[in-house]
Amino acid sequence: MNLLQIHEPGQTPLPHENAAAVGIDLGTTYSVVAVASDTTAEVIHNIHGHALVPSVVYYAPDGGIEVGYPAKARWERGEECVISSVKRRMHEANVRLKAGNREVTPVEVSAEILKELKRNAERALGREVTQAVITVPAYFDDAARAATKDAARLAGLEVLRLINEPTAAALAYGLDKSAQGIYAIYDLGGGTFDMSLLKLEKGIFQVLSTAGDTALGGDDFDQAIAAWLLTELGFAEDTLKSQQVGALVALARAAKHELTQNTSAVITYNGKSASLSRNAFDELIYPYVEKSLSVCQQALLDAKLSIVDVKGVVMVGGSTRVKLVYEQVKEFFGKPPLIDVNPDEVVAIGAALQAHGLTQGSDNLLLDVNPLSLGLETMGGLTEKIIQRNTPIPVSASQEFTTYQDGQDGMQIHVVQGEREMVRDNRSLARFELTGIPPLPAGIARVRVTFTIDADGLLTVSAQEKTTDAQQAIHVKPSYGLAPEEMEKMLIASMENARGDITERLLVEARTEAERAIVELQSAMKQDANLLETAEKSRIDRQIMVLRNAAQGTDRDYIDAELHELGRLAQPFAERRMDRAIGTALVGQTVDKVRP
Amino acid sequence: MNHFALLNFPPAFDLNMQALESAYFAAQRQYHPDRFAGKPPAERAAALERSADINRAYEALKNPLPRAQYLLQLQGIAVGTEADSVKPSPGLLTETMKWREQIAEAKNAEELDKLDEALNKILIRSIKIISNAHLYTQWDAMAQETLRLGYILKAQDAIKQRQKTL
Repeated sequence: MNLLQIHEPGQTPLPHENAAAVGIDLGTTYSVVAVASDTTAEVIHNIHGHALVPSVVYYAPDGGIEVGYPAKARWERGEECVISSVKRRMHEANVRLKAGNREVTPVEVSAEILKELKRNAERALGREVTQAVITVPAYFDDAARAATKDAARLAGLEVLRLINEPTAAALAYGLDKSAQGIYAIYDLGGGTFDMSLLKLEKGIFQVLSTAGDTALGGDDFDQAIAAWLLTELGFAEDTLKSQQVGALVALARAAKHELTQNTSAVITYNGKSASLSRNAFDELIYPYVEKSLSVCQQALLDAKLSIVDVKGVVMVGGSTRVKLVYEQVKEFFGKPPLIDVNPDEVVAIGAALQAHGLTQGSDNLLLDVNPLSLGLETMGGLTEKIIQRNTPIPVSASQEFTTYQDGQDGMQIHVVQGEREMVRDNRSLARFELTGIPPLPAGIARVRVTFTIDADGLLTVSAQEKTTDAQQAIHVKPSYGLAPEEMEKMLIASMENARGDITERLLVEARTEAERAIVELQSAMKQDANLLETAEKSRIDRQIMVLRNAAQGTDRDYIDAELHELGRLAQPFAERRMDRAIGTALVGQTVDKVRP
Repeated sequence: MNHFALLNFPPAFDLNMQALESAYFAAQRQYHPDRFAGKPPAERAAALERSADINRAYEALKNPLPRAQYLLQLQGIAVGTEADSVKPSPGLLTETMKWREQIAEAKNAEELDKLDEALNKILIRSIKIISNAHLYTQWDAMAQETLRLGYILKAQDAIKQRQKTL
């Protein structure tokens, strides 16, 4: 009789026979939980019948916590102690957010939202919920992904897998079963826009590229209508109080919703009325829609694809209900986009299907890419890229580095994320120190640094000194990070600054090269002082000073010229050193004979 | 492990790209970490490593230049690395200089497009030459042509850069 089951440590023996695995879309403004069975997938409604739970948390002075609509209502009344849009800060693991007299981290706030979703699901399903697939934006970096996993753990949920939102949307359409080819996922939310290209083949989901704009969405449409309304009704914006502006934007939003059904909407404010036709509305928002399409173009370029390669388009996010968006996307891709699954729920449904697949066994395979290049800081503040952006994950890559000075026994390793040439323009992920490098002449010790990104997009870095095999492995737990907006800016800046970067890189390289030559030469001069004539030594010393001066400036050609001059002056000395070295090794032979 | 062995694919330079992709997918289906959810940590770590190796193998084999470089590497010949064992022939150097000059002197986008087109034809021929050299195990010829393929691709990159400045 089996009284006890014994499992290997760390092995999860599919516990809680009765427990359910859910899919969660942990969104910026709303979160949704869904559950799938063999035959269906559906979102879970709370006791008030809402499927969408506002991602807003209220921390009451007495210690109580409210999540969702009640918290959102307080937020709209301007109450304190309310935190919203915490998703935008998930990358800042250690930041303290003020909620009245309490301080909470983004991880804790997200955990409250997840607990609420877990409670709703358990109430609706009548059983325990312990496992979840949680979706994250494709561009979420290492820090934000790690924080999302931490939040789930805090809420009592085991994360089966973090999956990208666009991948989840494709799963919801059952594209895994029927479709082959390349699909575009167009996700226009309230404040952010994401575009991903997926390749589907026999149940394999491959993210080919992702691009986006973290400051583009339906909120822009509302603002555009509100601005139009002001002029139409003859108000000057600066005479309005912020409350009145809020009311105007709310009216604008209502008009936007009406225009998804009707061809015109009447807006009444302060006794005055204005009628907004759909044509006029389309004209107002056209620039924003255009902007989203240029992001689509970028994603296609990144994946080296053209529009004809795209077999279908999936619409995600509430703003895709706007007719012009639908029409323009249809025209851009030359085919009607898929929009039958509720665009607010489609991501959660996809996550639920994946949760079901992972617990019940499924043939689906999700192959993702990493969103930002990873690299190391090298001399002169340059970034040495080790894993390029949009490389399939899991991935590991290694790079060898060498010591800069004789006898150097330690090395700082600085891990960065971003596309720019200069470290200071990228984002710092972690710093660690490798110690115990055996004291060897400069350039002999070899340190091999290996980056591994796992299937969830989380990074591990290890470093090894090859002559001694001393190994240090660390989990990269970044202490600070980068907002998605910043990441967006960095990607755009990297394209705009590509040329400036190269010039700067060449300059830094010239300076580094000059410094390296000086250090090497001085060390040799010290070692073999007896091979130097006094006049020769002072000429070289003078030229070292000239070169040092040149390196302070920004003229790369000047630095190169002075470096070249130093090399010329030191050449006879270098030859004498070599002769002597060879002479010691091959006593009795002349240099001419040993040279081939 | 050998890239071809990782993908369970017969080593060759001429590859059916669709077959290679299918082999890649099949290998990932077997070793992707998602297949090892709930397995002991050691097995999961091994799967992660294997899956990453499979990704690297596929990235290296799916394009002609890294594929040729890899096939040469298997023969102990380094091309396109810092420690190249092959030097470009004088003819190749002259040819490359000519391309560089033409790119630098092109007056408009049209001239650049024409150059790019011409290079495309040279590229296709170059791949053919590599393929034949590999078939007949003429490693020196293959190494020289692989070096040339690298230069052709670099010239095409230079055209793209130049086009951005016009």
